[in-house]
Amino acid sequence: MHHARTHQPLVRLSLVTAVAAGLTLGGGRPADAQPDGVLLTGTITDASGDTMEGVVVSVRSEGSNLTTSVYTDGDGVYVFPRMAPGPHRLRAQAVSYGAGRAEPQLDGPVHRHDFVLQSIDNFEAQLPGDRWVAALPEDTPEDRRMKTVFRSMCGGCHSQNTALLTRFDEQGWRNIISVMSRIATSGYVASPMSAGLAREDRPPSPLMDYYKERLAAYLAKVRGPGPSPMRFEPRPRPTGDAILAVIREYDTPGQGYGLPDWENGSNWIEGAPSKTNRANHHAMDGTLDFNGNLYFSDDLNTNPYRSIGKIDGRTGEITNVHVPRRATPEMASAVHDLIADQEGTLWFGADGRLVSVDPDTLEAEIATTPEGDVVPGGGFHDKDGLGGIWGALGRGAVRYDPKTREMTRFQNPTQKSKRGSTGTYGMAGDRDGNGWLSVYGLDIMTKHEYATGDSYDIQLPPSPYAPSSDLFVGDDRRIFDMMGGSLFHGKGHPWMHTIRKPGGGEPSDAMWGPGWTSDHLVKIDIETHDVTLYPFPYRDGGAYQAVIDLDGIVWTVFTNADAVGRFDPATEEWTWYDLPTVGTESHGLQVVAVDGRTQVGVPYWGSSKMAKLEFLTHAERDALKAAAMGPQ
Amino acid sequence: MNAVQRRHARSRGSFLLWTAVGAILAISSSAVAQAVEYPSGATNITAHLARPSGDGGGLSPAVIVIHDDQGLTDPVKAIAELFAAEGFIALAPDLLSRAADRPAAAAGGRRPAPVALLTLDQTVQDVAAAFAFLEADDRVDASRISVAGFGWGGWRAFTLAERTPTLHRAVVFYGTTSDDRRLDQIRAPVLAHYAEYDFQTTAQALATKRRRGERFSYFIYPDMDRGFFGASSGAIDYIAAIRGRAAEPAPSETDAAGVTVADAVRLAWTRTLDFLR
Repeated sequence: MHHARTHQPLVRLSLVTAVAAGLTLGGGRPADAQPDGVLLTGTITDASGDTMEGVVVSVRSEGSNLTTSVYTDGDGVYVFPRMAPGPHRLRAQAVSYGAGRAEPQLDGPVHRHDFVLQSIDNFEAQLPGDRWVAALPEDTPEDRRMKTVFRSMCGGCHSQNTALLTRFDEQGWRNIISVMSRIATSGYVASPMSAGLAREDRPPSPLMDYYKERLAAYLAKVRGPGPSPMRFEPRPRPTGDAILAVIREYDTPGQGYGLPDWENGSNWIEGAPSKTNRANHHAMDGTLDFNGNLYFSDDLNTNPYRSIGKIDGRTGEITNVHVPRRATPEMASAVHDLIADQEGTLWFGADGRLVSVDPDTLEAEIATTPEGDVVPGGGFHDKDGLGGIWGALGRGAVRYDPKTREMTRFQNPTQKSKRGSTGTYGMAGDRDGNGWLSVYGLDIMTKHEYATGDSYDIQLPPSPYAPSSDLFVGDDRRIFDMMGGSLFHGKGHPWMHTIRKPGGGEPSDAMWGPGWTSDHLVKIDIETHDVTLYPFPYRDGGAYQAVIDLDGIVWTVFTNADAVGRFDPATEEWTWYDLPTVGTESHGLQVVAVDGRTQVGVPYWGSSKMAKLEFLTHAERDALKAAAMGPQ
Repeated sequence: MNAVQRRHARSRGSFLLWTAVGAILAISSSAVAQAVEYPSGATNITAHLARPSGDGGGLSPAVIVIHDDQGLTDPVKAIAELFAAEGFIALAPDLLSRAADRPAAAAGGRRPAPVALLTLDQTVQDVAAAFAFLEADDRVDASRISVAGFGWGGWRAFTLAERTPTLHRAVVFYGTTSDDRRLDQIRAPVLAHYAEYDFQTTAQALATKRRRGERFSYFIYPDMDRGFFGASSGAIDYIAAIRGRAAEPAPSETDAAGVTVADAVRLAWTRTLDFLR
């Protein structure tokens, strides 16, 4: 599909766009989906000979940076789209089972490889973060208090399986809490490029500081040297529609190093990656185009190479796009979020400027008004139903119209509050051209009406999972009131929803907010402002972003659960897609319709990959299976 | 020119004092000040020294004034001079003076965290050297040397208290509490002033109180922002505020209850003097 750009060229090009020759790990060879390639299939059984449904099977061509995964069906059968011939690595994984591994040489029309998986006793490392939290005991009031504090404070910098993977004694946990209490949002220790980020003279996280001794005692009880009361339960394996996903994961390694990350969550038994060096974090945000290619941002990694990267969906080749910083043009602007508008043009903030990139040419342009004013880049951006591009700016927002190049600024009604921070986090545009901001600390959604210039605050109701009123009393309760509302470097205030990145737009008549803390999807009617809450299928998933596809389906990514959820507002039913990597720490997702069918792009911040989910129909999968297995 | 600058400009004195590197200024009828240097390891640290102008013949209590993240600015010097007017020998080190590349002040007055050039150890060492400098002075009552730290300097006031068992008192204005594993080393009573809107720093008060007990007292100032006492904001005319005259424009708005920044400054100053005396 061609990307016709109808908006006027933006006055620009003080900006020099350097398109660097990227890292090619695919060798220029189409990595999978060969029209006349090999059908790779097989059956998975357990030691007793029973077939296993919902086992994830992953294959990777030798030398490629692309791993493709599918799930077994009710017959225990997996089948891949046709693959290129040649040497591959094949792996079958299911929680509580040892992985099956093979290195097949694909040849001929069909290659069959069956696995028998052996159960294992110690499988907790394979689990996503939410299953770890589910296993934390809450038998006593103090256990419940500390589980609440752990939920609130130990999930903003990393997946909670990372936090709990290793056992420490009480002093060890105190030391860790001391360090973590002073580490900023992204969980990094100080580095030469971010002097003093975790220094002791910076104020610590209030909750971690206040509860340090008691939280250390609790964690030493549950993850200390002695016997643990934690009882782990795997999530049920996918069935039904959930096995129809074909998931392609592209490694997104360092900008200039050309080395794949050795610790990336692919081998579940190794546990979630534990990365405290931001140079090992890539794919903060991402999106996709109509031709099967993906794009990702690197966020805070100031480097000479990459502001955003383009991944060729067929070869895995990565091309770096360098948007020069203003003061140091040899360095690439760090980019946080990344969206595509209805025409496929990419938009993001770079060094304080709103920038667009043509996905075909990879030319970057700084957005300016007809008067020549540079449009400020926000912390987060989205498109609205009228084609406007919104950016979140501190305690307000800016809307830019690419066609007229007009810029409109909005101020939030709440600029200051005794309850806490009035800063904003994510934002989204709605069907009618309005912008919605999450006032993260106070559980307010602010709506800016483009047509009228009016702004509204919608105070969300308390979280249905709020602690009971007698659980926290006295100073134990007061500290929550003093901390300033939900903080960015934690999972937030336990009485709040704490919306990270909302989503809306055509055709939805609602704004959808993922409750990072409340484990509820928050629906706000864009006209009446009525609020409806829908519980997620699992608690503690860490829902980070919601987006709407052209069918009005709500897609949500779960940072702490290594999963994507599909919510149908008509039926109010969820379909849960487990991702094939542990410790994804995904901070976003985007959808695109190609030939009327939804594809989902998911960046993995914690394991440096960018994934694309496509969905077969049952008929398509049955046809593939029939071709691969022969008549059943 | 603001009130502080006017005050500096209007008169000069001719006292001879210590390791002076600048002329002594007669700040008011009750205080004089001058630039000095004191040794810290192999380096000399520049400081602003203010002391009572009258020669009572006796020993004076002293206070080390630790600036915030903008360095030793005129408003910080003014705070030292206020202490001197109240009978203290006040030493305000310029902890940036050891930095080779000192960032220039921006046109708007504030610099982008110039103290980021300094390591924690350097600043702690330089503050400890300030204490030793005062302790060795025969005009100072060595048993009554205190410290007052503002913002970034607040953590350094805590840290000096940890390392200096003979410190008399510590006053912290919206500063970070030092590591809890070392808090029990502090012998000096600590008074902290917090701003209501400075959530993350102010929330530390509960845990610090629990860990320090009676040796820690604190006040939270309603409707105040971090930095309400001024320090490098330069927005406070301390003399006006503390003497009860109309203050210059303040960093926080007046709230519905009529609490003004000047009210909060007066209250914090009174509490500070009561605590140190």
